[in-house]
Amino acid sequence: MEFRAPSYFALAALIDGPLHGYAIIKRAGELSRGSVRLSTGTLYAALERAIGEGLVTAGEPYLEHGRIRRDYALTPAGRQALQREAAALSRAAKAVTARLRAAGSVVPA
Amino acid sequence: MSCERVLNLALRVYPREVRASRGPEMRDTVLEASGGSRAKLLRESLALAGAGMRARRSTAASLLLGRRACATLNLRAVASRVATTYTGEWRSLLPTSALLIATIALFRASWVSDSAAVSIVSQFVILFALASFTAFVVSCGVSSGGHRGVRAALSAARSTAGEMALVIFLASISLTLLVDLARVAVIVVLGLVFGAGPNLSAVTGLTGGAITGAEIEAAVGAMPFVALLTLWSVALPVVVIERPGQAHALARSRELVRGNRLRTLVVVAGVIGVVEGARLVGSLPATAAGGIAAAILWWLVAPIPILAATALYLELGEAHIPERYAE
Repeated sequence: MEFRAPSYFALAALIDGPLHGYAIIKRAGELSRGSVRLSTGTLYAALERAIGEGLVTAGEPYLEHGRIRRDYALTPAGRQALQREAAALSRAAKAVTARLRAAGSVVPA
Repeated sequence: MSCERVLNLALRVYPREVRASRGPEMRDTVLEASGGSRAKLLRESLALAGAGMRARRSTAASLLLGRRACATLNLRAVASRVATTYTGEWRSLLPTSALLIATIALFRASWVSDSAAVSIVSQFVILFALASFTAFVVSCGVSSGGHRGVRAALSAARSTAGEMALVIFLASISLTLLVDLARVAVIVVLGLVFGAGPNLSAVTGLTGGAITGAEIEAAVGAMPFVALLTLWSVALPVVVIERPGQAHALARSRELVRGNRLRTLVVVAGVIGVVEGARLVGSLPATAAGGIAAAILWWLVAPIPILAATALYLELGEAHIPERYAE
């Protein structure tokens, strides 16, 4: 699965355990420190793709506070895919930061 | 228009199967995410509609490419099923086939009678003979043989002949109209491109009239014919086995073929090859003996297209054979 920021954070939201749709949106927002605001359409498209590729499993629907919900959980394959993606992003970030530092143009965070 | 109405409309953009499995959940997630704000609800609904359109496009693309998640049609199994049924049921199939050919021969002459009533009656008799024969052969294809199989086949032929005749009639009309439309389109395009008459050899570089407008018309006319034949290839077994009503049989056939269109096309092309081969061989002899040989050939070949359609239906993987066919 090709990860873009919304799908990356949607799956990352499931690292700590299964969550329902709205909880994933909130958790992804927290994890990305507000940089990713998942819309419902984007979330479900990402979840459908992840389910299709065996990265996520969907539970049975249930009713909570008058809302129909379904919990989504990361599979071991999903966890591995996420780890690979995080490692790749980290390597890319390190490479770019090192180049910027070498060029003396690092702006302090 | 209320925001909730917009949300419901946005959900309708999604393919039916997504709506059925996720619709209420998505709706509640949008309502929760909007937190009671009308502006947020509207924004979420519009984003949902956009995602729905992408989902619909991706479903359509996967259908066009035949990549829908479904079992792949086993062509060898289709061929084997046709051969097994033909050799196992020939005692029932061949007499019925002979009866059909005799009926057609008898009534074909009066098809073009001066009397409109006689002509219409003849056409109806031939249509019902074809329908009964089809129902009988389909039933032979799904039954396990023996007397019970023949009884079930006769019963199916009696009870579904009317419905079958209507499906054959509807399908023939649609096929004829579509082929004619395609030909008219070709004539119009050729007329626009080449003026009064197409001179394709000048364009293609081929000489001696290698390609004529009529040949292109025929080729283009054959395309929708073969395409529709592929989509509707299992409509006749559907009528006999599932009895969904004639209006739904063609749609159900399209649904069954979905995901295996190319493989179904191969079976359809094979059947067309057998039938056209028989027609070609049958048209060669001009003598009386040749005529008899051609009739024998037709007699032997007649059940094959319907057996192939039945085998396709059974191999497409969603067939539910009713109890009445169980041995």
